[in-house]
Amino acid sequence: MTTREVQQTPQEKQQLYLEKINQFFEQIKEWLPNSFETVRTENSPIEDKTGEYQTPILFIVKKDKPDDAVADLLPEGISFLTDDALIEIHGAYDDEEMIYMQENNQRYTIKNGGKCPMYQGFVQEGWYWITDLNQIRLITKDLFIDLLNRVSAPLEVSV
Amino acid sequence: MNLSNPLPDTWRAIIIAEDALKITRKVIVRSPKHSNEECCYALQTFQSGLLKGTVYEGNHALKLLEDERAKPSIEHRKIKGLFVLELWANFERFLRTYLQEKGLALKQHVQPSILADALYEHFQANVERWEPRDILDFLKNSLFSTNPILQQMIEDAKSIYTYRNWVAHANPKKMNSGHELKTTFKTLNDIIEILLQT
Repeated sequence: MTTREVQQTPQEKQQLYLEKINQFFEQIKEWLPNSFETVRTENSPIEDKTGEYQTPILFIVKKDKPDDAVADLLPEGISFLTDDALIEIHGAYDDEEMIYMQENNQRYTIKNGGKCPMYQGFVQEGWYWITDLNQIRLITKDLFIDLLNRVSAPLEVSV
Repeated sequence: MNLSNPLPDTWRAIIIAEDALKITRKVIVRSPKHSNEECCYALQTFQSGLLKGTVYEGNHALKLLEDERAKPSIEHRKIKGLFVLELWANFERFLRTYLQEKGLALKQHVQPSILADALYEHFQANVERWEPRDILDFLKNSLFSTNPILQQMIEDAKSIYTYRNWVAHANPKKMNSGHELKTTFKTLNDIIEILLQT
């Protein structure tokens, strides 16, 4: 049975989503250079097809300028169409979207007569940066720093 | 058949509008506030010049573009929903026109021709009233029946139709993501491309 066929209640979907967000936010704290820190707020209201609930938000700030957010990580909810977990990252220059992908949740199309994934770039279960219409990249420490540099002014890293 | 896929043009228009909205939001909401005096003056002059050309100035624009938690506002998200409606409307129009063109065979092959003409007129008028789900179901049971991935694509299109209805009639908080928009475009675009190849 694939994950897409597993029937979960809306509350179970929300719970899983919150667990993935929390794990990811903890991971990000470890990835950041020493000159940066995270500020977390709880209970941000959200509404998606599973109903209304609350999620945390993570702000990435410079330690010496905690009032100036470098980037904000805002959970968007569970995708109406694909049931995937989504988080947006907002910076001064750009916004990008991240998706939690699993092998069994991949969607396919037919291109030139052959099976083709909707998003190219799946490696293993985890959070991915949707870099293009058809492309995802697994978020590692280095890629997350690249992502921060894309959405905000280049980080002046002092590790 | 002279049909062509309308969705790539629609998608380009959506990208332009999305970029324009994003840049507007960033310029108004996220411009640096702690530059030196000269830079600040130049920036403020530039921004006030930009704002003169907008309908919603100053604080009104801020509220419409981004809420207090730095999230794109409900109004901003609602626009993403309009893009979904536009993609679906183009897709649905394509399907009906595609079937009407296929139905021309009635006119060409049924005898006597006076019956063929009447039959085709009736068919053409009725295609406009067919339920999108019914159209998708008979595509699934015919052209798209040969491969489970093709069948799943039709099921995904039915989900998009449900999503389109949710966007249009419910969805009070307007939670429309970029991923949703990409999935809508890619799924409907691929179905059209397959229809055009068969």
